[in-house]
Amino acid sequence: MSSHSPTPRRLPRTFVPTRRDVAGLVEELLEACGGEGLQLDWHADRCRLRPLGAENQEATEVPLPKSVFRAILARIAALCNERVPDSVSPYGGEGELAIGTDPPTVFRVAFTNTPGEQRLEVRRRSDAETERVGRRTQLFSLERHGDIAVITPSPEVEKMPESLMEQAAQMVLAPLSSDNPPAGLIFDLSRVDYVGSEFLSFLLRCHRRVKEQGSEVVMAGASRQVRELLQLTALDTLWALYDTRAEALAALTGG
Amino acid sequence: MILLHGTTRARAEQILQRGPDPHFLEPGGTVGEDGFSMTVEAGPFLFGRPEDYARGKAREFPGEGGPVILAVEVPDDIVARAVNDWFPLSQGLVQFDPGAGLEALAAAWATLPKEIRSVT
Repeated sequence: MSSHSPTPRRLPRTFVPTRRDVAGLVEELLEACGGEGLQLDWHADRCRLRPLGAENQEATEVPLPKSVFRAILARIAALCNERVPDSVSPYGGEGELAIGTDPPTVFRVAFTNTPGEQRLEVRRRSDAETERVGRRTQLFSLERHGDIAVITPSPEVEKMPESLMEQAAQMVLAPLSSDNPPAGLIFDLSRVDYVGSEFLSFLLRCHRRVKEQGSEVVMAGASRQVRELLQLTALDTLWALYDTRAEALAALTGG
Repeated sequence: MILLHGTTRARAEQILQRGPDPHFLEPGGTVGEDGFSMTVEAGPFLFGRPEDYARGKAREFPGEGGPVILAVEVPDDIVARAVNDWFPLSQGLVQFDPGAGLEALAAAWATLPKEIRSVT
């Protein structure tokens, strides 16, 4: 995403219908957000655009069918829900979008969609909030090896509170509930020395969700303490334990 | 092709009987302006899955019998009337608006194969 503020001339051009469709329009709109963000509202077949954080820029208006405006809301809600499933509806509420990865630029998205008012506000979060969200998303890394997905928790998860478990499970598993779910999922625990009951609860939530897709779940690289905990709780009967990620990959791929 | 519309059971039954009603007031809608949106069964689901819409509406209207999906087999020539630069079929969303397929859909409705599917 560009970091400059959108120009008054660029934004209306975004709304000229071309073969790029509504999804393409949303992509360009998010690129054009820049600066502090953007506010859109719709009234009487016209969409009004107002860049946020640019005092000297006035709102501009473009003609736009209502169904297109509503589709814009739906597409942005779908993007928010890809990030955190079921977090928002295009009928109202607030969601979150992260653009980029190093670090992500995080935008708060507010939907208003009532008989009297249709509005969307995409506002950049403060650097502190962005950093917090960035840390949260870095609690786990996700890699794909063909049909197999590997999730590697960072040492930070040892301190992850129970209140964040469901959200974390949703965020970690969101990329896996696409149209191409993995045949197998490996939790690479090699970066974690010790885990508590909260983390076991998180693993079980992930297990349930992944099993619904008919995928296999195994553990790799567990420390001695983690292994003992899995044995104490009889969870080693639920998941096969492998010493290394390579062994787990070989077992799941038949290699 | 088969098109899907996620909603509540009460609304699905009403649409099933009467056809899409452009005067029906959906959340966020105003009378006579909103048309009727459906998704292609095969996807893609760039605007959310019909199941998600069904669950969302069921949450907003808990007394309407829970989430369901209305599935309708719509002839290609009617779908084609709803296709334009904003809503190409490749996007997976079919937007029937007044003047863009809604009237043809409503006229053919009684003869179209359709069913209500449960959402768990």
